[in-house]
Order: sequence, then structure tokens, then C-alpha cells
Amino acid sequence: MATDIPRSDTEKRNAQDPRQPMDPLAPEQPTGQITDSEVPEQIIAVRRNPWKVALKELYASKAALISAGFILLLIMLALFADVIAPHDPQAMSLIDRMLPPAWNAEGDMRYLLGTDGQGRDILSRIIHASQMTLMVGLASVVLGGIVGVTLGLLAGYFGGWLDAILMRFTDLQLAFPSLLLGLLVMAIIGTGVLELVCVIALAQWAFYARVVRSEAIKTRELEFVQGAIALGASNTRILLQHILPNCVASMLIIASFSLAMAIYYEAALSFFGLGIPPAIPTWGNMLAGARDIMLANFWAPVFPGIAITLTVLAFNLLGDWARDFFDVRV
Amino acid sequence: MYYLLNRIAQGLVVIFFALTLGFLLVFVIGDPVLMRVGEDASQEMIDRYRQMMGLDRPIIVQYVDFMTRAVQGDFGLSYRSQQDVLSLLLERLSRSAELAIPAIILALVVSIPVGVLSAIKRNTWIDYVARVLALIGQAAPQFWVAIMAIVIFAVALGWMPSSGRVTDQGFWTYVAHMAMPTFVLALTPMAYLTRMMRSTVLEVINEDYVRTARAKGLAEHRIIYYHAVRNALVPYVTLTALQVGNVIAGSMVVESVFSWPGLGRLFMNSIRQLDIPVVAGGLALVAVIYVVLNLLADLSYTLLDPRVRNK
Repeated sequence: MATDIPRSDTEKRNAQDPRQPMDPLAPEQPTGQITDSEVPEQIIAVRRNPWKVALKELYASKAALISAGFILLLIMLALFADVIAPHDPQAMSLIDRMLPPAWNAEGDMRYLLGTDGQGRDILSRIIHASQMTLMVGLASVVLGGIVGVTLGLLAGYFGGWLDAILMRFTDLQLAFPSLLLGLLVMAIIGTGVLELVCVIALAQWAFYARVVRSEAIKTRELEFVQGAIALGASNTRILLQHILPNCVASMLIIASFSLAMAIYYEAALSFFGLGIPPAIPTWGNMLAGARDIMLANFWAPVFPGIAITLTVLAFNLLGDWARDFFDVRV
Repeated sequence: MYYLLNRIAQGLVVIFFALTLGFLLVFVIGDPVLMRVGEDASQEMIDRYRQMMGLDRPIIVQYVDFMTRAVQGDFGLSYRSQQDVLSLLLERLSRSAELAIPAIILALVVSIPVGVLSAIKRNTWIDYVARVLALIGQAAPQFWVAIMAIVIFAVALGWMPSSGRVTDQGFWTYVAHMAMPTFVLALTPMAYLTRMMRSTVLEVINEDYVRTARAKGLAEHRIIYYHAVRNALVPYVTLTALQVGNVIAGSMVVESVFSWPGLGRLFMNSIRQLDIPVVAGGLALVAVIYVVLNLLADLSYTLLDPRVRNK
């Protein structure tokens, strides 16, 4: 220390009494409270609202911030689709079929991004399709997450034959491209929204199960869990109160990547006619329709594809950021 | 040796499960008779087919029968073309390989140098461009990229043929037809592997032995090639093997859009028409490919990493 003027309260206290312990959290004052000014910087950071810390970190990363903004925008579009969309997404107009975007010489100002083979407004359909995309994505990630996390927790905590069987199943899942299995199952059970959600969840549970299992194995050996076991806490209590909270970071990271994957699968399965029934507007269905008329209007496939790409990109980038933020390898 | 046997056993388990899955699909979830004779066939006709296909036997007997035949490569005849499933699959596999092998080579040839360059020129414009392109390449769905490629290069510009596999009009016509599907197929693994190469090189470059190499004054290209890249290749090889799943899924998409008569398109059509023997055989074939390639990746560790070799 170059100067002997104490800078902080902690230093002042240490300067006054060198025998005082350095540990700021040690109960050296029997009656006094520890005020924030006595606690070093790092510890204050931990005490702060974790949401605020996350928001601050998010703000520091441009890519993640833009991604979060894009996803918020998408949620808004989905929620207020009826108000925002300029046209009814199902309204056909045979005179206005296959129009290019408005900035094109042959375009029409009423249809900003042009029209499809039945003369429906592409922009309005993209906006309305975001509802189905987000709904299917969220539902399948939640379903796959619940199944995967439950199995992963049980396998990691109890081990034994349950663990062995589960790991072979995840092996098997990894051996097959999930697109192949998804198409196959959809072809057998038939297309529909609920069916699609189940199929995508089926493609995802293994990721959660693997990661949560390894977290559970790690956490099980930690002192506080061993302590809880020694105190006679029930297995349910240990799993839910002690192990599950330690898996939340990895779960969030996987959820973000899973959402990207779910949106991709929904689009792909719908594109090949084995996802959402073609009557419902989704980006995949729009691309399938655009494929039939691409010789007449090559603009038709452009915008739904951009919508898929940007959404998948945004969730991927958010997942990357979450991985850096939580500093967890998944 | 023990390790190798263990891995082979694990692979066999995966293949066994795949066959069982194929059986379940054929005989439990889907009803092969109804799929063949149609929903409004008479009960008599259904019964006759059931007997003809051996479906009136107990399920265990059918399972054992299916498995013993499957192990010998006999998956029966395709419902649609009445061809032997195995020879049909192998024929289509070779056509898929015409796209898949050049695509994987292209992905490797691009991703290794770009990934390394992106890592050693970290935070320069080269790195940014490579990262952004890789991110987009990973996010853009292949079926969309395929359509856009057709729209731009075949429809609007007219430079490329839009689809099909043409073999009887000379070598260059053939190459022109396979160029776009190969490139689109290569895109996703290329993007993924570039990101992987970049991050592994970045990890390796901070290791002590790279610092030592710098400290003793080695030329930069020697440091990069002998010390950084060779070590980064070890995890990269496994990841390349794991990309096989991506390439198979990609083949289904790309071959369907470009009408390339390969395994992927056969799969897609068989799934749609519920041509179950082909699907069951195909599942087994995919499992075998996956297991063999993963085994090869494990073995390649010994070539790349002397620590594994000497164990």
C-alpha cells in the first residue's frame, strides 16, 4: 500500500486493529450488522439479484442482446398477430396470385413481401406462423425437458441398472438422425400439432437426460448432499431441494439450443408434409407451398426461410451466451 | 484391446436395438397388412395376407424370425418395387456416397484451414466473417438453402441444372448435376466443424507446450502446424464421425429436393409410402454405418495421439 490513508472501511478496520481477521464475513462484531460497505466487491456481486447480473451481462454481449431483442419481437408478433398483420393470413385473392415483393416493379404496395400461389399475403402468413412455431417449440422443449430431467436425475442419483438402461437408450438415440426417426414416427402416427410436439420432445429428452445425469452424479458426492443424506432427508427432498437447483444452469443452456432445434424440426417436418397439417400457416408449410411455385415466383421461398434462419440463429446465439455466462460445459 | 472389444460390444448393442426398433415399427405400431391391402379391404383378404406374411404367428416367433433373417441381411422384399431390400439399399447407398463423400471432403477442406485461421487471427475481420458465416450456415435449414440454390442458379441465372442424376451425357454433365447438392449437403457439417476447429485451436493455443514452443523461438508456422493443429485434430476427428448423422439427415433432405436417387430419397419415399421392409432395413444400415465410423474414429485416436497408443 503506497499510502497510509485507509481507502475502505475494511482497510480502516484492519489498519486500526491488525489482529482483526481479514475475512469480512467472520462475525467479529457481536452486535453490529455487516453493511454493504464492509463487504468486498465480489461478495456484493453474488448477493445482488441474479436476474440483474444476467441482464447486465446480456447487455455487454452485442450478439446475445440482439438475439434476445429479436426473440422478444417474435413473441410480440405472435401475441398480437391479429393486430399487426396487414391481411387475413387465409384470405385468398386469385387476381393477386404469386406477386413479387412490393419494391419489385411488378409488386403491389398492398403486399409488402408478395403473395403465394393462392394469392395470400406472405408477410401476414409469416407473422401468424410465428404463433405455431413458438408454441410447438416451447411445448416440445418443456415436454422433452420434463422427461429428460426426471430420467437424468433418477439415473444419476440412484445409478445401477436404471442408469445402465438409460445410457444405452441415449446411445441409441444418438445413433439415429432424429430427423429420420421424426419423419418415420409422424408417418406412422399421422400428422398433427400434438403428435409433432411429442415427436420433437422425443428427439430432445436424451440431451437433458445425459447432462442432468452427469450433474447429478457430481452433485451427489458434494458435502452438502452427503450432509443431507446423513441427516436422514428423503430421496425426494434431496433430489428436488439439493440436486435439481444445481442442474438449472445446464438445463437453461440446453433449453435454448433445443428451442433452435425444435423450430428447425417443425419447419423440416412440415416442409416434407409430415408435420403440421398444411392448412395451418407455418414457415415450413409456407416453404413447401413456395417450392411448387418457385418457377413462377422465386421470391416466395425467400422470406419464410429467412424467418426460420434468423429464429434458429437467435436461439443458438442465446445458448452460446448462456454457456459462457454460466461457464458450464454441456 | 479390452477397450476395443468393449467398444465393439457397445456397437453391437446399438445395432441390436436398431433391429428391434425396426421390428417394433413394422409389426407393432404399424399394421403391415392394412398398409398393403388398404383400409377398405375385406376381412377375408386381410386374413389371407396375414397368413401369407406369417403375421398370425405369436409375436415372439415373429421377432426371432425377423432377427435371424435380419442378421443374414434378409429384410424381405420392398412392398412397392418387390425388389430385395438389401440389394436395393446397397445400390442406393453407393449413389448417396457419390454426394456424401465429396461433401464431407469439401467440409473438411474448408473447415480445417478456415477454423485455424479464424482462431489464430482472433478478433480480426477474417475471424468475424468466418464466425458469422459459420453461424448462419449452422442455422439455415438445408431444405431452404437447396431451394434457394435452385431458384438462384438454375431458375434465375440458368447456370446449373436444377435436379436429377444424369450419367449418360458425359462426365461434365454429371458433375454439373451433382455440384449443387454436394455443396448444400456440405454446408451444415462445414459450418459446425469450422466452429469446432476454431474453439479447439483456441483451447490448445493457450497450452503450456505451445508457449514453450514460442519461447524456444520456433517459426510460427511450425508452432501452428506441429503443436497447435495436430493436437486440435484429436477431438475434431470424433466430431467428424459424429457428423455422419447430420450427413444422413442432410442426404434425406438434399436428395429429396434435388431428386437425386440415393439412400436419403429412398428413405423419404419409403417412409411416406410406409414401405416398412425398406425402412427397417435402412434403420439397420444407418446403425451399422454409425457404429463402424465411430469405431474408426476411436481407432484414429491411436494414430493421432501417442498417449493413447502407448496405453
